[in-house]
Parts: sequence; structure tokens; C-alpha cells
Amino acid sequence: MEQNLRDEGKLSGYFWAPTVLIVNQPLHLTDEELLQRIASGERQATAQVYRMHYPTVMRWLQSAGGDEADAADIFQEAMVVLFEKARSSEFRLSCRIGTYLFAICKHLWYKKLEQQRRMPLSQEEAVPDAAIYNDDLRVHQEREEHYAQLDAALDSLGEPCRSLLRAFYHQDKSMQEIAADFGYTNPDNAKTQKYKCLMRLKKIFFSAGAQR
Amino acid sequence: MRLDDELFIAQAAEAELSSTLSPEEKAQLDERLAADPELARAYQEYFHTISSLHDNARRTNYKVMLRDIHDETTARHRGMKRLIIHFNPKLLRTAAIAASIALLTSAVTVWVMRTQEPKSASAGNLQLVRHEIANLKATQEHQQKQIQEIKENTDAASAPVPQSNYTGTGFALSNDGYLITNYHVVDGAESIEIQTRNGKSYPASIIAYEPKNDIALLRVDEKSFRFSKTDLPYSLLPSRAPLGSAIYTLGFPQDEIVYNEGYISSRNGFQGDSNQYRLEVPAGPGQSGAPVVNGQGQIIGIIRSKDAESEGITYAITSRTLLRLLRDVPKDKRPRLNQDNRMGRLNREQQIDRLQDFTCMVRVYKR
Repeated sequence: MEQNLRDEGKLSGYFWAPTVLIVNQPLHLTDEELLQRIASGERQATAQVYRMHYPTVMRWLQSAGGDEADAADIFQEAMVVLFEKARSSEFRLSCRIGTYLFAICKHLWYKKLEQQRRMPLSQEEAVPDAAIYNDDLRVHQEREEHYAQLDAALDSLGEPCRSLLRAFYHQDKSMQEIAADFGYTNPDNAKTQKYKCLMRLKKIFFSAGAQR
Repeated sequence: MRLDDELFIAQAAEAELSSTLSPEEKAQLDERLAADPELARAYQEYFHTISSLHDNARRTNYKVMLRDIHDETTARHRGMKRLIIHFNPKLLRTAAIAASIALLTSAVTVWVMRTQEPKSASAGNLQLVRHEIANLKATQEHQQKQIQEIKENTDAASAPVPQSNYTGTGFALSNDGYLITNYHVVDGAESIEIQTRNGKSYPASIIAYEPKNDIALLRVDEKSFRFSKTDLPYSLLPSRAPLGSAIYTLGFPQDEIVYNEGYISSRNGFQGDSNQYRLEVPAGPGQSGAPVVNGQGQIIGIIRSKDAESEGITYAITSRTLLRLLRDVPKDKRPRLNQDNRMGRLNREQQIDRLQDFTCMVRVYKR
């Protein structure tokens, strides 16, 4: 009798499959495949990139005066930049994902330090190839501000409009569910209410100066 | 603008964005927009507002997912940290009292169940209950022992390691994180971690595997991971080692790395399998995947199994078979192997010291 030497494993018969080497395709994708999946918001691809590159960024950040919480914030923001970039139509990544994320993280961190005035330092000096990433970050920053305005407009709507629009756009709820949740007699009433809310939102949003 | 016009425009923008507008409706809409600049401007504004709502939702959801992934990937490490928290001796009494109360409650429950059990429920059940009491007692003793141990270890840095389902051994094929272990070690794994010489753990994934010869090629997920500051000192023997070769192994039948030595007792393995050697060397659970090394420090095989009846008979997959299988892995997914063995001039102790940097414990977790 033969017995395998895996610890705590129950003795079991071997699985005599044909001698074919099975290569795990889904686990290690190329950068292009990964980016495509990230653009569609896929969790597995996102998690893979996270596991691959977060430790490097964390170690660097710790050596640059940050802690684990900083590292998580910075890295997650960089992932959002990557996500947005991957989604944009004119998207092209001129370097490896890891290089890109690392550079974005560096930028974000130096910016944060500068804001906190912990370090009197100009970005151009600190980060190589600053120009390449500055554009992406500027777009990201503009987006952040844009969405902050939208959120502010949503908040100023008051209830039930705020929750109703969030339920429809953020939580992807159907009109039936929304009618039930908000106490409308039927989905059509809920729909009418939704459009009324949308009209008010647009008015506030555009009077707040959102142009584009 | 009239209210029903505005409603029409808002609905049209929403329909356009969710691609539910038919070609006729689209044509109709374009016609109206072309005729009325005010309407066209309002349409643009709605389009922009609604698409911003969608994008913002997508982005927010993505951020939530990122936080979730972060918690998931750091959970195990945080779990380890939680175990390191030093116990406050003052709390031990409280803990002991709480444990006693829990035990008492369970015992009373069992007693009540026992007395209220209808007679017909017979002796079999009673035995079961008694067994449970015995279990409870054992559990309490075990807890006390654990509390005692924690008390003794309050200052010790060693932390209890979270329970893994399986452990085995692995060894590096390249310094940048490729390693080999047995397929049966990682079969069905939800997640895999390797623990290196410095005691640190790193998540790893299966790159390729081959069930029949029981080989799995893993890679540490972290791109910047290196086993050691220097390159791999050993190579894999491309030919078959001669009968009687002196060999040694390094593996993890326990938390500490263990050295064993022996010789090749047959050039063919279990049931005459020419992909294996039969070795005369002690091996125990946890040593699956351990490297088998010859006198020159070259890897000649991978420990796989042992004879269930007689101690000391161990089977190892040959390095030749491993090399053959590795050739089938696509180039971008396989390690760059070291061709030149630099272990030959070292004495045994020095070889073992170098090898330890590249031998690791493989922990396998299942859901």
C-alpha cells in the first residue's frame, strides 16, 4: 500500500487522470486581459491585481512615512484611477499594470504629504515621469470633484427623492421594488415620481455650475 | 419649457442611455431636437446628469468592492495579529469564570435533556449523552490547558498559526517565486500560503498541475517576492540518478524544518513506476513535496508518498519527470531554471543552510 504524505489529509485513492498538464488559465492573465476584466468591474481580476501589487506599495509607503491605513487608501484610489482609465474609450496603457499603479500611488502619496505640509517638496522633483501620470491624475481629480457635486446635489434634494434616485441608480432596484419600498401604489407612480426627482436634480446640478 | 416636454426629454435621455430607444423613436427624437435648440440643450443636460449618476454608481460600487477585497486579503494576517494580543492576566479569571458558567449551563441542559428523555429513547442515546459530557469535560480541560499555555507564553513572540487544512513542503524553482509541490497537497485549495525561512507567509497560486505524476507548479502572488537575496544555488538533475546514490531531504513534518538522509533503494518507484524512485529514508505527513537532494546538492526528486506498511520506504518523483512536465508549460508561465549547480563545493551543512532559504512550508486552506 502507498500512502501520501500530505499532513492531516485523509488517505484517498489517487486521481488517475490522463497525463496532461493542466495550465491554470484564469488565474494568471495577461495585463490586457486583466484590464478588460477590470473595466467591466470583475471582482476576480481586481482581486488578482490587488494581491499582486498591494504588498509592494505598502512596503514602499511604510518606508516613505505612511502606515497601513494610508497604504490601503492610496492603493484603492490608484485602483479607481486604473478602473476609470480602463473604462475610457481612448484607453492605452504604455507600461505594465504594476508600474502604472506604483507611479500613481507615489504621486497620490506625495500630494497627500504636500497637502499636510509634512514635506516641503515639489512633485516634479520627487517623481520620475511625472508628466505621464499627471494627466491621468488630473482627469481623476476632476471626476472626483464632479461626482462630489453630484452627490451634494443629490443630498440637497431631500427625501424621498434622494433615496429614490439612489435606489434606482446605485442599487439597481426595479420600479416594482422601489414602489414597494417607498409605498407607491404601483410602479408607474414610482416612475413618475422618479422623473420629478430627476428634473429637480438636473436643475440643482446645472445651477451649481456643472458644465460639460 | 412645458412640463410634458421636459418629461419627454428626460425619458428620451434615459432610454437612449439604456439603449432601449427604437430606430424610429431615435429618428423622431433627433428631428425634434434639431428643430428646437432649447429642447436640445435640455436633452444634453439630462443625458449628462443620468450618465453621471450611472458612472458614479459604478465607481462607488467598485470602491466598496475594493474595500471588501482589501479586508479579504488582509484578513488572515489580521487574524494572526489578533492571536498575538497579549492576554491581560486580570481577564483570565473572568475568562475562567465565563468558561465555567458555560460548562455548567451545558451540563444542566444535558441533564435536563436526559431526565426528560422518554424511556423509550433507550440506552444508545444515553451513551451518546455521556459521551458529550466526557467531551465537555475534555473541552474544559483543554481550554484550561490553553489558558495556562497562553499565560506561560504572554511574553513569547511566537503566535499560534491559524488552522490550515493541509500542510506540505515546497521548494523553489526560481528565486522570483516559482515553486514545486505535490498536486495532492494543493488539490481543492481555496487559498494557498507558503511560509518561508524567516517565518513570513505569502499567498500563492497554482500555475499548472499534473495529477498523474502528482506535481503542482505554484507561484507566489506578490510580484516583488524573492526567496533569497542571492540566486538559486542548485539545479535539477536532468538524468536519472544511479541506484544507491546517497540522498537527503528537507521538509516540514512539523513547524520546524527537518533533515533526513538515506539512499536510492530502487530506480523505479511504487509498482515499478519509472517516473519515481524508491528511497530508503524516513518521511512523514507534511513532507509531501520536499526536495530530494544528492551529494552534489542537485535536486534529484520530490518526496511524494510512503509505503503504508513498512517504515522508511519512501517514493519520490524524479527530477527528470518534473523537467519533462515543465517543458509543457507555456513559456511566459514557467520559471527560468537555473542550469548551473553551485552547491557541489559546499559541505553538507553549508548546502543545507543554503537550501533552507528555498524550502518552504505550503499551507492549504479550504472553504
